[in-house]
Amino acid sequence: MSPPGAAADPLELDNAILRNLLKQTTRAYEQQMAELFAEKELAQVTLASIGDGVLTTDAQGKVEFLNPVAEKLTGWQAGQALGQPLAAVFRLVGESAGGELATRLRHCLEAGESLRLVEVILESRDERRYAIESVGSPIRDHDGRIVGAVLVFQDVSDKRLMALQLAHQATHDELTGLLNRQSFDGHLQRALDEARAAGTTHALCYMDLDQFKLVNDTCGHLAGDELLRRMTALLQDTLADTDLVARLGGDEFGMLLPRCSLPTAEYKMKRLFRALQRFRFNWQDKSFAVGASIGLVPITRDYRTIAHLMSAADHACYVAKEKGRNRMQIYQEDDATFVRRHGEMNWVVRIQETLENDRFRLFCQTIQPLSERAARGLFFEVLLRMVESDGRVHLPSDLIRAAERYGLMRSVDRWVIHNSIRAVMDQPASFLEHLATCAINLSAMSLSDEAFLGFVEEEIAASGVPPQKLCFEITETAAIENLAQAQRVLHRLSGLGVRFALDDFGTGMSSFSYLREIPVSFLKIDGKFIKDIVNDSLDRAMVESINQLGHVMGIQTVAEAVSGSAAVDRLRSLGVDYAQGNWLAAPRPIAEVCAAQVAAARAGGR
Amino acid sequence: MRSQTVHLAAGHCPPEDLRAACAEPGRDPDLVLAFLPPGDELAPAVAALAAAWPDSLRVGCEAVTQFADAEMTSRGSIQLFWFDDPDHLPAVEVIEASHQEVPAAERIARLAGSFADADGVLLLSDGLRFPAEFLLDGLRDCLVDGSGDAGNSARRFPPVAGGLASHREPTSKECRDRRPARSAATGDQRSRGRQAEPRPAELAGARVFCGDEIFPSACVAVVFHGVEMRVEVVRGWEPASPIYRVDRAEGNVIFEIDGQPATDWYRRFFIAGDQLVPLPESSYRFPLLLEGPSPERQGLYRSMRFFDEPAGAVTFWGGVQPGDLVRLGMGNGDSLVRTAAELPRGAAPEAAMLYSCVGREAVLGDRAGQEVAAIHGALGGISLSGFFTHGEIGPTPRGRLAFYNLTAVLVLLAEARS
Repeated sequence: MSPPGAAADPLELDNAILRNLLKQTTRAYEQQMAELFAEKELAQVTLASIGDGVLTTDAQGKVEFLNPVAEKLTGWQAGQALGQPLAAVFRLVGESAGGELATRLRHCLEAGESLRLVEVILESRDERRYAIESVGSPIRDHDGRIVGAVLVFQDVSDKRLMALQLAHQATHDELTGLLNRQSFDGHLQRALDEARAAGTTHALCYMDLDQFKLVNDTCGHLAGDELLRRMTALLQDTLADTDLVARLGGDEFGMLLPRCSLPTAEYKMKRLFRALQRFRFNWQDKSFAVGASIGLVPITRDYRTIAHLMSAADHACYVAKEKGRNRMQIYQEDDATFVRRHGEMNWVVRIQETLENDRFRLFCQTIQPLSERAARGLFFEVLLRMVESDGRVHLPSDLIRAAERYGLMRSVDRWVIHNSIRAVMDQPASFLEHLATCAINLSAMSLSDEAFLGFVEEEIAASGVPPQKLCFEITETAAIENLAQAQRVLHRLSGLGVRFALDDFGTGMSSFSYLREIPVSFLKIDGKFIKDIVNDSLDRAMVESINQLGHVMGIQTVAEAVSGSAAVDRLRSLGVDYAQGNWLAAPRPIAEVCAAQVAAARAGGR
Repeated sequence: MRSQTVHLAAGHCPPEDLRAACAEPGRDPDLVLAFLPPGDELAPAVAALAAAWPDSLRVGCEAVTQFADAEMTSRGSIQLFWFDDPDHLPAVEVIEASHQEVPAAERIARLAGSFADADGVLLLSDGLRFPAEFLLDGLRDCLVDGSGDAGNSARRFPPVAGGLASHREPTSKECRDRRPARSAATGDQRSRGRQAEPRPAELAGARVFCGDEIFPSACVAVVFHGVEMRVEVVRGWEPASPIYRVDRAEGNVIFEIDGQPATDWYRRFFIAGDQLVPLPESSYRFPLLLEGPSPERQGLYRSMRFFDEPAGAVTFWGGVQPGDLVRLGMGNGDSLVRTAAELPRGAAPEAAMLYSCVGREAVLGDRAGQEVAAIHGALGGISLSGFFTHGEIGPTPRGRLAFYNLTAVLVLLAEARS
């Protein structure tokens, strides 16, 4: 080639330029191809990585592509499926489903409509079946023409199973797999309806294990759980498949024996007792015989509600226990029990009326400091009184059994909390300076109420009461029965500054170790250890050990039911921090106690 | 309408030839369109036309190489028009300006106003000193196309076509200073323009004339009424390289393409062995094609005018904007002539005008005459005039007004029948 310039051959120069153009174009083409290849690889990796099946067809509905998930679900290799009609590869079970797919695919390819298939069954080439959900869309080219369709589908078999599991969880007890209380009530209601409508007789049995608490206390909760599972197996083995068994509470079981006469039910329960007699629960090196008390009630049209039925069964079970446990009691409605049950029902109405008419009244009993550690300032426990329309005043012991049995305790607790806080906040601002602690009783029912935490937090936030001034008293039994929930509630509210006291401490005591698990500020030593503390060395020892235990753990102690100066002296010598009792201070209306405190503070200030 | 081309003898306009051309119609032409050889012969030729047809509308310009029917000539080309309807006599507007004294916005608006009811406009201007692209930008702002989808204030957009003439290659300094800023001239711009103004001896653009008057730097607009005017843009270039992006450009100068100086980018293509080929000559067959992204600029061509290696800049015969997507095209005599012969079908025209780029002339070389011959043949031998241009004016594929390089703009006229 001659050098460029005037003498250069133009054709030669053109050729050089054309070669350069070709080189640049080739380079750009190769770069574009590399980019396209990278994009394609990325797309393929993406398609291969996603958890959904992806299948594409051409404009005629013939399969063009399957990703690995689609290969697995259809059972077709991509190479084999290529060019096959969609219906052959994406095979839906049932003629209607197959026809619907064909119609929708046609609409998708012809009219550009998207398609959606919910919970259809896809049968793979190797005849496995999957519940799937699928969406499909047309594929368009740059000019908007439909050139095929893409189906994206996912295996929802697990989702379906999970839905079934969730449904099962909602109706069954987690530990034993038996029906739960709510579900059992539903079955019971249907049985009662049938009995009332058609006169059919069914039977209801209410069983309470006699040795459960012993196993729980001596071997721990794991052993208790295992005992419940073993008992479940025994019940299921002994009863017919058509009989329904439910776990109603801690160690309480319900049995609904459908279309079962009273003699047959009796026979079945006797067989159950025989099986129980043979049963031994072994845990580590211990072996337990397990007994049960069973209340049996024939379900007849005489009962109006399942609450009546459950109450009767519960009562019969209670009578069986009273008669020495490990036996069955058929419910017989004698005058006394009728009166009592009727009385409870009556209480329910009265409690509801009292709540609606705001006729509860708050009293309080002050708690006196004994030790140097005890805080100075007003410390009182809020007490509830029910004033009826005729002016009669009832103590809580009268109404609590009915309120607990018929689920009214949550409402009562909330009323008490709201009004106690209001009573405190109604006082002059200086009152809070002299208030050490306002202790409010809390039932086990509230402790297990999921909405309770939110309620208390809202009350505190709305009132502005310093949370440190509040203390909730819960019984030892309530705390232990549902330790996990108690931990959650106590820790959350402790985080705000609220304190807790364990009430009636010592009565249900089996182990102190759980005290490490919950943030408690006060142990209220049960009055039965205090009443005779002056004379009974065992009670004294008990109080002493509880007091020492509390102090070691940084917990202050309160002696309940203190009834004389000698007892006060004894408690003081043992180092108990506070004392409470009618001898020291009788319950008085809360407003009165607060006003007296305000007046005393003013007098002191003067 | 009747049209006739007068084939002139060298050097002058013999009165007898002019008179003979009118023998058949029996009257003086209504419109005389003349493309005359540049230089001292212009004034006598314009005077000869005035003497022959004192009452006719006479317009034209200097041009180095003209077309007369199927011929390519340097003796000049005169096209005569007789309209059947006296109401179809065209109107003529002249707008004088230079790159240093750009036309005021009001003047452009007035010119656009005269296009209001027109059926077509022919623009002939100097291709060197007159700011043609500036004028076109201004007209485009004032007009809309026939669809009238702009506001009510916008005027209808009639077909507009034409050519820019020049009778010699400009100097490099002229190239750099060719295009002014888009906005109305300010004191600063005038000052800059004056600093950049070449010496008078270097200014030798093509003069236009109207009637007896000759204008050194102007544009003459022939505004047709009652005439159907069709415009065809003849291309003949094929895409030859990948598409690249213009990173930095100003006026008709590109500074950077694809992340490197424009000269380096050209070096990718225009080297033989390890030496740069002669530029811009070697680039005529490889023009710059504009591929967007603006639809208004898609399909435009730019011909290299100056390759300034030290500055890294490349100057073109038309404007380029930052962000333009460009590629090199390629063509040769065959592709240009073949494309010229492939005219779209349509109503039979009665007269034609061809404004073909000098860049095409360079590519065609010895075959330069084949283009006009092919077109004239395709048109069935009707009267045709025109010249080789330094820039063409015609519609874009979307109907708007554009400034082209390296195309042949063919204007076809037919008088409307009442």
